[in-house]
Amino acid sequence: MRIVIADDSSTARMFARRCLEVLGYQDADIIEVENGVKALSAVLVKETDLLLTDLTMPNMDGMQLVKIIAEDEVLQNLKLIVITSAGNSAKEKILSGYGAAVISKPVSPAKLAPILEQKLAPVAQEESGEDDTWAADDSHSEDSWGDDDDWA
Amino acid sequence: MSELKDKISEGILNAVNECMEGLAFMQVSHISFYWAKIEVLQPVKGLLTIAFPKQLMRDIVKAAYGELVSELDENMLKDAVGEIANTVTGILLNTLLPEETPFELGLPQIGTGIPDFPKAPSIIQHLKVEKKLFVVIVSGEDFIEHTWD
Repeated sequence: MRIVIADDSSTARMFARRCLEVLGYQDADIIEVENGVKALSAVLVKETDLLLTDLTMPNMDGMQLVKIIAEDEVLQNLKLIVITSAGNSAKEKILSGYGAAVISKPVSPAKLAPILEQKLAPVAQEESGEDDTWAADDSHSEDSWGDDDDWA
Repeated sequence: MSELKDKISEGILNAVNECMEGLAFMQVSHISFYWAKIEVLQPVKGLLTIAFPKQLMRDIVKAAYGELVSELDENMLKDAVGEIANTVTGILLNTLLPEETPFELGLPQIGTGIPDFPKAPSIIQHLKVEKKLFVVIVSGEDFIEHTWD
């Protein structure tokens, strides 16, 4: 599995990566980039399963990035998750229209788990060869990741 | 002008030190900060500044990174204060604004030393984490006097 994380903050990228690792994606090929232009290049050069992106970035912001990807014939099946401090329900509606899920910062495994479950379950299932669905496996239930206080 | 500012700064330190030593046998020293400013661009103009004393910032980043890193470098500390400011501003606006109201934030401005205190109307909060003080300033006439309903 290949995952691209786009955020101008290395701290934010670290948090996102750590959440992915906690949620079982430690063996994924995780690429970090600091802006929308580099994110677009990263998803174009090699087939990518998931893009996690911030909204406010220099050199193409997340909204523009999501729009370009959603409207591209080749990229439109790429799973999109926006992790942002600048999100609210107004932007969420627009981003949902492009097929992106939205999570508010600070990100945590508890916040990310159900979104990944929704976006990646069939991929995770195929790769692991397991019969159980992600949702049915208790070790991956939302409760097992604790709440945000435990993470902190 | 910078020479004069330095002279005054040194004078302040010496004056306070002399007083504190005489009064309470205590010594004072300069404190320096990692700070970040986030501009609120819409729907109202404003600025959020957050400033952490350097040692506190190191403690925060160490706690955040955990075992992922053995040594902290300057870039990590500056980046972290920017990300904190960014996240705090987003949470604050989501709290203040009516639900469907979009907002825009600028990219963080980051620095060390003492941040310039804004001339605009401001709300200053002195907060504490792990018994160490830090400061958050929200400023801008439009922001402070905005009706948030």
